[in-house]
Amino acid sequence: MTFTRLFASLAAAAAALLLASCGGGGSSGDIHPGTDTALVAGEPNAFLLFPNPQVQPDGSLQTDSLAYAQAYFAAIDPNNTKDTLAKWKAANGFDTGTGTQVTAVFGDSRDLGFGRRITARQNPDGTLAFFVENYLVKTGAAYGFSPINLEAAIVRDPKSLVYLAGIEFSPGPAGGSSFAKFFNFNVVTGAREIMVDVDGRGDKAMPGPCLTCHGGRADALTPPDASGKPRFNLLHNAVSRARGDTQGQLPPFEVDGFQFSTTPGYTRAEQEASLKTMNRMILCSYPLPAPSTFPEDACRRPAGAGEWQGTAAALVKASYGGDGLPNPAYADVDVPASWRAAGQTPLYTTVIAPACRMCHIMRGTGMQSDIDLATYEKFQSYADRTYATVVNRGNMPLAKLVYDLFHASSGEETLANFLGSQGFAARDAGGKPLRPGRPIADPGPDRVLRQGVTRLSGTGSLFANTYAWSIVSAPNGALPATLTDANTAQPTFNAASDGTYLLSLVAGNDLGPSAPKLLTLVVNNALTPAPNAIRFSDIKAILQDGNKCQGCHSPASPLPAPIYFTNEDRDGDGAAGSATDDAWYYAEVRSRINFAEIAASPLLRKPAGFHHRGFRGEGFDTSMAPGQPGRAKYDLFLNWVLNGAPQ
Amino acid sequence: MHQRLQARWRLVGFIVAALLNLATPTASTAQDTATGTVVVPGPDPTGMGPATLRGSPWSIADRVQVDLGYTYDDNVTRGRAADEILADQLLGLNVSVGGTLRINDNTQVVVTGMLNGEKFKSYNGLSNLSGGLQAELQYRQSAAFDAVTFGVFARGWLDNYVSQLRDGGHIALGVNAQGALTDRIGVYGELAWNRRYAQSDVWDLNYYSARLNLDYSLGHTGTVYLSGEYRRGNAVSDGRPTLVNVSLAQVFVLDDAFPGKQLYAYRYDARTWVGTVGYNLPLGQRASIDISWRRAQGTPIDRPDFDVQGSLRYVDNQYSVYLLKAF
Repeated sequence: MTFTRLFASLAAAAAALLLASCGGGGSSGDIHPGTDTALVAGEPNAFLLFPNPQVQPDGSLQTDSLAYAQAYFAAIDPNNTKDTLAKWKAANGFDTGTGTQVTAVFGDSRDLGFGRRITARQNPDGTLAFFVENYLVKTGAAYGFSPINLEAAIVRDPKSLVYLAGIEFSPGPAGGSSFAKFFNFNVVTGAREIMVDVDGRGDKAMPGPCLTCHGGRADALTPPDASGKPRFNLLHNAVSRARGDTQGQLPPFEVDGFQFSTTPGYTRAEQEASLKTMNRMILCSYPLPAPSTFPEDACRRPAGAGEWQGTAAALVKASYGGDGLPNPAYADVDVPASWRAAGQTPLYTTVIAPACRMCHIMRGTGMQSDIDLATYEKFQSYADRTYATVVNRGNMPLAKLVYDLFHASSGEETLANFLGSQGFAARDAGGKPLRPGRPIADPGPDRVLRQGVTRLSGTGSLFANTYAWSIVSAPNGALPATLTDANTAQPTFNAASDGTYLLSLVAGNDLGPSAPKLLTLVVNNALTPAPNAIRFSDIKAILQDGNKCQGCHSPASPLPAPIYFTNEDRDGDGAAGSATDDAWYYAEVRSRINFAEIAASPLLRKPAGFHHRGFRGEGFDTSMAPGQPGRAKYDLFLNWVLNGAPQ
Repeated sequence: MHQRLQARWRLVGFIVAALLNLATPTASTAQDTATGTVVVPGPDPTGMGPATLRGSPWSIADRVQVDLGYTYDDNVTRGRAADEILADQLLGLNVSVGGTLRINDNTQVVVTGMLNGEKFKSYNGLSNLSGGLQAELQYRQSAAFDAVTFGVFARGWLDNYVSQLRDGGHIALGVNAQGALTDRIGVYGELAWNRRYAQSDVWDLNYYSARLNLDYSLGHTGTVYLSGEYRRGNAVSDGRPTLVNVSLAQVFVLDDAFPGKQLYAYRYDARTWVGTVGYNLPLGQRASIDISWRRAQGTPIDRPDFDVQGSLRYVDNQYSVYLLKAF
């Protein structure tokens, strides 16, 4: 009996000890290597996606689809001659002893956070190829650069090798001018990847994650061709005239932004020469807008009038002492004159240079290059979009690491000051710079409509999961208007009288309600055509009205635009203007609509005079109220878009 | 009668000491790597004494032992690289109270409660107070001199450290055997499964251990002892957040025991050897001075997939002097 009691007591004591000794399952500071960074619910997560991701009627993002990647590789490598790393390296002459080949290892502390080992080569025929091993030691800790990523690149730790990138600058399958092509390969099998996760935030379709910062465009695919597969878009301002030439470029290596090891053989001083060689190669890929006698420009082809004008060449040259590249080591450029003259040196040094410049300098066309932000005036002209993307939407800066660094830097304050000076409310009530993540109501653009039922949409609201619509005012003497489902994203508005109605939308999330956003609806029952009756033919009629648009958007233009509005043999069947051509034309025009942010659609903004080489189309004056004759065409375009842009 | 009592005391003392030796959460337990014991050696084990116990079946608090001592540890971080190694000194106090339940002539249960404290001089985060309970069922076939005593034991501890990450407890289950090879040489062997729980996953440890102890009696001038232990399973070291350490680590955390040092404690699988050489000098019937040197070395079982310059092994030495007093 005593024995039994003893063991019962011991068992109870042991159980109590066992339970009590459990430590609690890990501290918050525990870091488990190999785990991916956890995504935070509610935070911006549109990184490495195009601002216009080509939202499809089913809500999917075409630029982030398998079909997009497949069409891309079908365009640049139709016979799959580069569908493995080995084949790609062989095709580009790696390790053949010919041409020039150099390697550098550094920490990409300001872009994607990798330790990078880059081998670059220039072949005797002038083609270029860059093979990039990207190393990331996954710790599950906050996303960011770590020196151990650089260590991993130095020792080539296979466990930390997260992806292999290949970028080549070579002619397309049919020959012609070289253009940049982007590849990724599986780190284990070497097979070409069509989806890639470069920032731990999930797979994205190639070439999107590359193009977003390499200057490439994200136009929609064509309808399926005779083979049943859609084709990659053809950009008419590209000298190559090749599908798959997205006008993506090779950004220069901003050596001052890298981190280097102290390990012998991998110090910055020991790698400056290789990095300069690489930058010199990259310079060769930039078109030359005007003749030059400097030797580093001898490899550059003349720029086509409509394409990107090689803006980044000035940056490369200045970083090595100017023309002739006299300096052996890279040194970041001085603040450009326009920024200094405007008294905006801090804006350039804390915002533009670290967070905007490298991607934006890859952008622009011969027709219109405001987007390259090369001058203060260009940046200033984008203040509204800067406010929308940086302060509200959180899709700029477009890489998570750059985004985090920006918001942790003094640049956030500097930008808030700038935006405040441009009339934007960039600070909260406490004076702190506003950040993306707070709910922002978007009831859609002011518009003109007919009497009767119209479905409104607040789905463009940001970081919102509650909606509260209300009618603020109605025209005097009007019959009452009604709102049904006023607490949903898409209520219906029913007006029985003409006049101007003012509505309000308050969106909300766990942080609370947004500021109310007003929507002006001008009801005009004589509106023709009715908004829901507008079709592509109505849009096409305006686009093809004389030379108003076609003057530049046609093959005849000396300054080719990326898109033609003329009837062309788009599908290549030998006949122009067929129904199939028209379907392809429709796809190209729809591609100019940003269904993720309708007001930002180039189809609406360009003819309204925003960054359109100074041209504003007749009937596109958005300074007028909806329904005014001076913006009738804009209203037509807008109502077509708001109705889903039916063909 | 007196001799029998003395022999019995030596037997019990040896068992308690042996268990204490494993259970004492000292500097090494803070990391829970190889050097599981700072001091408390196994005194003269030669007099194994009778298995049969006389009188009442319950003997409560029939032994009380207090140990007080000093240790110099040249690698409390169990660091591998020079810039990861920190040395420290500590004072230790161990109190144990034991009771015995005689079941029959061959079997008894030994229950021991223990309270241990350590105070580190430089890295106070390692200082701790731990309390635990252990129970061992012992069986001895006969009272013959060369009869072997077999044991099955379980113990559990609660650990409270200045370093909050280490707070928790640990348990161990195992078997042991002890006997006398000659009238001067005693031997003790043990196999155990050890599990530790802590606030941080880094100190959630799971490992197996095998231990062999030899005592050589010098008669009235004391006992010399040798001990060897092999551990396989989780171990903890502190180090810089280098690629090598991260590659080895199953989990790591910024160690709160070394503030300002930017050292990360990391758990990994290791093979660990511990060797101890000690000398126990009796001071009368119930006290002794114990001097020991323990050396531990732990080697990761897995290697990184890249070339590593230098050794991945850590080495730790502990030099201790303790006063042992039985009541």
